[in-house]
Amino acid sequence: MGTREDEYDYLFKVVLIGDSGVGKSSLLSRFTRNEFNLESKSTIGVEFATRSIEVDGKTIKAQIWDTAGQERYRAITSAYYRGAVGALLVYDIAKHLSYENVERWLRELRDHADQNILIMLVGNKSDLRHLRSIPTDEAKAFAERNGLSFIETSALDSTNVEPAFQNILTEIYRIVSQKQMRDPPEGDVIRPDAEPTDVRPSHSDNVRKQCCQ
Amino acid sequence: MWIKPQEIFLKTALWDTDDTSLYFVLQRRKGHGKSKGFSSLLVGTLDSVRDTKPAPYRILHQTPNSEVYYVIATALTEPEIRQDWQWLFDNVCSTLHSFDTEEEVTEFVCCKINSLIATEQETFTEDEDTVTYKNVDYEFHERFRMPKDEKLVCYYSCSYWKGKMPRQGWMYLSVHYMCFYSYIFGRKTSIKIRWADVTELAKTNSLLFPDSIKVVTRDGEHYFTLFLRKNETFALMQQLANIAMKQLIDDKTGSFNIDKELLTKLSKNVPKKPSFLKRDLDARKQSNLFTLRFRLPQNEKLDGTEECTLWTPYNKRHNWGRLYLSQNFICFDSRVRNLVRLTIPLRNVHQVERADSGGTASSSGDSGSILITTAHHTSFLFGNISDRDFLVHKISELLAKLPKEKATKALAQNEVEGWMPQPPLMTLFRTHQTSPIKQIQQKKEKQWEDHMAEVGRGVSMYQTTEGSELVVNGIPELLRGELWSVFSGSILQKAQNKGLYERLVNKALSTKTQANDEIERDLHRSLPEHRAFQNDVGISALRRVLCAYALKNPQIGYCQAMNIVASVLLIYCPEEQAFWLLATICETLLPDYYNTRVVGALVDQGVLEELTEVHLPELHAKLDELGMMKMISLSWFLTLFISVMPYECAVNVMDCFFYDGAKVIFQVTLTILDINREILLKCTEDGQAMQVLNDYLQGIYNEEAMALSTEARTAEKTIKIQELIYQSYRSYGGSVSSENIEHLRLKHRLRVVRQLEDSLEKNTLRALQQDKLLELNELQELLSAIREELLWAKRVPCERLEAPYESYRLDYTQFKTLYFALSPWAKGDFAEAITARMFKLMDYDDDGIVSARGLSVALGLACRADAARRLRALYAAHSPPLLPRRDLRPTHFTDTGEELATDAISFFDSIEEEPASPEPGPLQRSISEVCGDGAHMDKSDSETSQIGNSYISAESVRACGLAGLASAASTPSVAPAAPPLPRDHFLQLLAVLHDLTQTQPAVYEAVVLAGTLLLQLGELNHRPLLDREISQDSLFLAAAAKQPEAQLDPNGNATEPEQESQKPSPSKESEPDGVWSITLEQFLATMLSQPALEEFFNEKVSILPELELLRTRDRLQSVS
Repeated sequence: MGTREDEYDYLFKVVLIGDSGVGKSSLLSRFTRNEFNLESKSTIGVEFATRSIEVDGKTIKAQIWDTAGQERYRAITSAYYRGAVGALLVYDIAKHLSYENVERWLRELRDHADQNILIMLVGNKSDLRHLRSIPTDEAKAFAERNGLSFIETSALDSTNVEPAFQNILTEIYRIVSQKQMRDPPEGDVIRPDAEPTDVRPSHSDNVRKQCCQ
Repeated sequence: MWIKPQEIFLKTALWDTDDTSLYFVLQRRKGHGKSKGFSSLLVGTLDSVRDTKPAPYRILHQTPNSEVYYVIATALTEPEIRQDWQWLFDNVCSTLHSFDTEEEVTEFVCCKINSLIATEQETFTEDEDTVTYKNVDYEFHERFRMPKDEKLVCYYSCSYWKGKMPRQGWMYLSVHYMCFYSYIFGRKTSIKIRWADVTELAKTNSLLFPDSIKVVTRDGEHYFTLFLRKNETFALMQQLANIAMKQLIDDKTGSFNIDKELLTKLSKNVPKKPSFLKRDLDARKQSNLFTLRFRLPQNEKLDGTEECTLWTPYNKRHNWGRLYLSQNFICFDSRVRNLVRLTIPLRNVHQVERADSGGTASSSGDSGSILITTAHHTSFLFGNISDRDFLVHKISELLAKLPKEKATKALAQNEVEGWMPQPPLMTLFRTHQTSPIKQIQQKKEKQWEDHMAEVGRGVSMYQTTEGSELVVNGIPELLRGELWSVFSGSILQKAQNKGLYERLVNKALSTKTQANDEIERDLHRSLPEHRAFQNDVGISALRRVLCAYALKNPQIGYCQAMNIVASVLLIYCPEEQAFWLLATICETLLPDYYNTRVVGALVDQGVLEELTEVHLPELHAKLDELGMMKMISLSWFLTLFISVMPYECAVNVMDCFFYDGAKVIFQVTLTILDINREILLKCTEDGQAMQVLNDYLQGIYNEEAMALSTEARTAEKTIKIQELIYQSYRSYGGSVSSENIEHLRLKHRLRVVRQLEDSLEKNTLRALQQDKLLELNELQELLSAIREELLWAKRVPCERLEAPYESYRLDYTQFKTLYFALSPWAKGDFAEAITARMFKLMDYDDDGIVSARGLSVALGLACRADAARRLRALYAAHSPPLLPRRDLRPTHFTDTGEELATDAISFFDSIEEEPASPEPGPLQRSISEVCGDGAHMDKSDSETSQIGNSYISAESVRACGLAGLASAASTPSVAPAAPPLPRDHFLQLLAVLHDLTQTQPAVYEAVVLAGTLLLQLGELNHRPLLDREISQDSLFLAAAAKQPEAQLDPNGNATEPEQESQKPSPSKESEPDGVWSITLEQFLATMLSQPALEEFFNEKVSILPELELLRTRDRLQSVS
């Protein structure tokens, strides 16, 4: 559609997962439209938005898939993990259960997503200081143990939302570009055995994200 | 079984005579039982080809001078016929001699048999099945080794393509299986397929398999051909497969129930079919179509139908069509599609009278008319009824059967509970409407008022073509609530369940459930843009509706998306009506959409895909390539477009949806795709395509209604909703029909359920593999054995939150069946004990249910783990509290088990006598002595055991016993300490080890040796305790204080006191007694120091042969 949107060097697919009501959709609308609605509709199935950012002078288009958190949608939403290079695993710092379920979500990712997917643990609603039930240190330690990056955000006052997405996208970019340096692509052709993370820079319209698994 | 005497002339053809007497002959059909040889082979073939299958045994009556024989009895089995034979001898033969002529004899015999039948029939009046059918039923069970309760539905003659050769034979369709059997000249073909395994059913007509029915399972494809009634067969196959799938979806434990009521209802109109069940299924199917067509409550049963005319006063015409009669309704549908449709609840019927056929144009004689007057003084005239009296009689009969309405309590009660049902929220939260919109609305209202003045109002309005045009235009806002309820049929539900909503709300609000929590979280996320839901009035009403529904239908509970749908319903309908509309959507219009696996929505995605492929092939290919065909419209369907287009537009789709059913959402979706086809075809990735559609949907607008929202719509306008709906009817209204949708749903349900099952299985296998015990192929086989077992127990795996394998839940009986069949540890006399203890070890939450992983680990430990782990598991399984004190007495063991245990003890005694004992000195004590005072040692009677100072929970014992597993929920870095084993428990463990090794003398001896050592060690452990400070150990003291006086030794060694007294023991003198115990470390070290033992327990065993055996075992035996 819009021409400006179509020009990008990299296209990364990122999924937002986590329990129902932790604020996944709010993070998405804050990041992609800089909007926040205290009350928005619950997500049914999956929703979707994009935004482009600049890293090292390259344009990275982030395609962010927001998923329904309710248990019974899991079979459906897990189908969207395929081809995702990053995942924001969101919990609510004021709801302990949503934090306890993080392990289960990790297992979901392990089962359905690409092995090399980058995962960031996101403690959302950091504005609710007086209601906090998960200490930052605890979550941080958990993230370290499990090899996840970690950040606390507030979609409401927009604290750390930008950095959260920037960080994960930059990290993905680093990995992808390093890989490209290690084994440079042959011409303009997409290698059939390319990793899902390996998204080719493009100037043409017919370049698509490769999901080979 | 006696049958009405029938004359026959040919006695011998195809029959062997087994027995004769003066007047009777007992015969066996050739090819049955003993007789072999070519002729029997031929008869076998004939029987399997011919339609009528004679019973294999019969008794003939004959008089010496007559050529005529009478068949007087037949039977399926020899004992049965022998019984009749014997009866003849005992009761008839002696009498026959007293007759003078042979004619008299024959007359007497026939008369006697007839009277026998008459008396027997009284006891068998309930038996609906014909004799032929019974024979087939018997054969079916024999041939395919079906359990007794497997019900044969129908059988058909057909051919099976085996390679390129069609084999003529019989197809048997039963509730859970489809089978095929052919026997042609000694070559037998037998196929048995479970419906639950069928992934595809189709009619094909390929070059290779012309005019066939294709059945695809995970294992392969089968083709059947040459059906006499192919369509009937196919329809029945579909229905049965569908029932199997429904069972998998619903996790309802109830199996298929025969609906006697239905059967008797339809028996007048339906021709006799061979099977009771087949008739039942036919009736069920017709009833389903009927309820679907007239939007009646699903449990409504069709009674009968009748061709007749309906007089429509608005155009003064007689319209031909069909009248449908059920317990609660009289319905009519015109022959010309959509011309007129009518539903009259019998509840409203005031009077039924024969009317003069004065005005009828058609033939005079039989044009009987009926005038039905309802309580609202509306009359409906049906004409040209061929059997008027019967119909009138039938209606009055049904009227008499109507349940009397209970006087319902006034709503005043609500005030006590603190809530009042809300009127349509739009009446409370008005917005300023511009005058053009107001005018449009008023004009529409006028149109509807005029229309309803003609066709009536409420449940029994004539639903006409004109009406449907008005619906497509969009129902005026003020009338929406009323008309939605009428069109969807929810008004009938509401009327049938007066007061239910109120009761549900009161109950639901006072209970705390997970569903309620989930609802609470979403209340403010339903239709937040509407003022009503920024306010407690709307929020509370929404809460009540959703919580009440979750309570009403626990199968569904609460599913996100229902909140969004319900909030819109509340805007236009009074609260209770909104509730019943929601119920109708969830149960009838969008079946299975909101259940725990959202199956219905996935099924409809498949249906949509197929429709797209048919109508928009190019686009289908594109979307498929983008990988988004399967999910494109999930949220569209689940929320009836409310979450994707402005709700004031979505409600127009809902107008049609309630009127025409689910086909509307398909045709609208196809139209949306069609309109955007060009842009979509240019998309390069799925996100882009999603965006295109999102933007388009957001831009849909409605100029005839003001959004009752606080926010103005900002999206770029794309299409008027009315235009979209018109176009959808124009393009797809005809080609997408409700029947078509139902048919496609059936087909895709097979696939979706299979996929869900497969993915569940795949995930389970992956999880089980992480235990690194059993091999993958073993796990696969094991899982299918588990599935089989669950299926027989009429339990189906249900998706669970925790882990995939938790979906397969085995109770002890099922666990035992499988463990007995598969485990190398369940072979000896202690099989039952070991199985029970392993079950307990695996039953983490003590709920009597073990997951698939529990079984796989229990088996894996016994077969694959190294010796230390196996012994550790056995040790833990025998530790208190897993093995409570009260279970030590081997009451449920076999006699031999007890004997063996006793043997073991006496064996210890004998070796104890040997001088060369490794632990010399004062510590050496007689085992029997130890046994003697064993009762003093064990202090564990409760679930948790108190040994020494350590408090040991069942949890830590399990963790210890299973140490080394991949991911036991939360893996502690250090394995928890194992509790020391009290003496009695240890003896049990020893007895078990004995049992396991008894076939191998060397190992057996090693066990004995190690056992002796350990018993002595136990003593050693016992001693130091005496010196220990026990003053703090108050619990221990308390426990010791109530020492049981009785001999609790499980092995009954009560006769050793002499020996005991001969050897003065220091422990005897001290009070209180110390604790005899063996620690895990001691146990493992001692056992593993015996090379024979270590080798024995390190041996890797495959369970594949056992699994193979299990698969082929005779189900009949294991079930009955």
